Amino acid sequence: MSDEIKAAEKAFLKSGRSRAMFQGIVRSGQPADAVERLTDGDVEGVVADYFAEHKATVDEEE
Amino acid sequence: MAKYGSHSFQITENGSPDVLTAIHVDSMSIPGNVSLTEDQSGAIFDSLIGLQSIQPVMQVTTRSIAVVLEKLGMIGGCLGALPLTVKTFEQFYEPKTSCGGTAGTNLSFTAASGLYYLGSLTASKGQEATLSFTCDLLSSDGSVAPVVMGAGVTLPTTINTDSFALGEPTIADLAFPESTQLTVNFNSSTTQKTPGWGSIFPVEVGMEKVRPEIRIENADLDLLKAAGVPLTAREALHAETTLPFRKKLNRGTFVADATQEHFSATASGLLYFDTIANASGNSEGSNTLVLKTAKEGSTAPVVFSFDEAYAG
Repeated sequence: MSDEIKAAEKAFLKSGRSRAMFQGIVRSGQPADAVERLTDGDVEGVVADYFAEHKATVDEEE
Repeated sequence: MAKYGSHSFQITENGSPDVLTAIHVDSMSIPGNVSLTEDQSGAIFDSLIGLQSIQPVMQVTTRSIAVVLEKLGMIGGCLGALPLTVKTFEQFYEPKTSCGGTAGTNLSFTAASGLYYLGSLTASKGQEATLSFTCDLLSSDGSVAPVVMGAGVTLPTTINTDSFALGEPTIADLAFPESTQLTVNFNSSTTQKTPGWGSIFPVEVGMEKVRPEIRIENADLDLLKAAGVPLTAREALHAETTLPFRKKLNRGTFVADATQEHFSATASGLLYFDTIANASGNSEGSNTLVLKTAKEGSTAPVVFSFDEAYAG
């Protein structure tokens, strides 16, 4: 795991959420700047944007 | 009649494909939590019995602490089909070989809707730590049963059997070499379960609060002092408080300290005496300290870190 992702994971886990959720967000690439924003501490924003982008992707596919 | 024993517990996470993780368990159960309506007449015997509600829960205790904490987190979550969530919980039981009885088949009990949350993490000196968690099961529409049994199922073949022992804890920059047991009680509370209209199954429940509290049983009575824990309590910050968990080797002792497979927790809060001193007969004296945790800035009261070297 890169140092950048490790730092982002550390920041994410401080919210009390699961590591599995962090790994899923990073794997999905949604939002694209998730790792950078998580390192800056924007956990709530990244989680909200992930679900919004995922919903938009699903709606588009349907 | 067939006899059964526990086999494993499986967590399935939504994904493409789904991610299945089976863990070894110390115990697991599914209390039915059935409440009945009672005959309110004045007759000496009841003639009316009714089912008022059925609210089963899944309860599990395991030593595979790290993988459960990684999957479930600390703030609870919902079983279901949403991405990045846990899809189902399954308890697997296998028939035991017994003489004179009938042969059984592998059984599974599956829940696909519910609220899961942590119970407590208990670590006694010299023993493997255990973690308990619960899932309040729901009906997806008020009619579908919250838990379903499958017979003749295929049992998981890859089962996580990790276990961990707690290293010397440091709380508020104080080492506790004489601690005998440490328990993290997550004190997860939920909202009242809401039944569906005309239903006996709950359809909704939410997380209310998670208020972790760390309790340390200690044999060192020489702590009630300014340099230890004053009567007026002592603040503990994340940077000053570490609970290191050392991974054990199956069929061995411990995974090498430098190998990044261990995990740790930090916590923040107020450390105070619950019992200042206690002794009876010829047994050793003890005290009990409690770290009542709270958020430190935007950081959760207890934070776990995984895949670490052991520095205890």
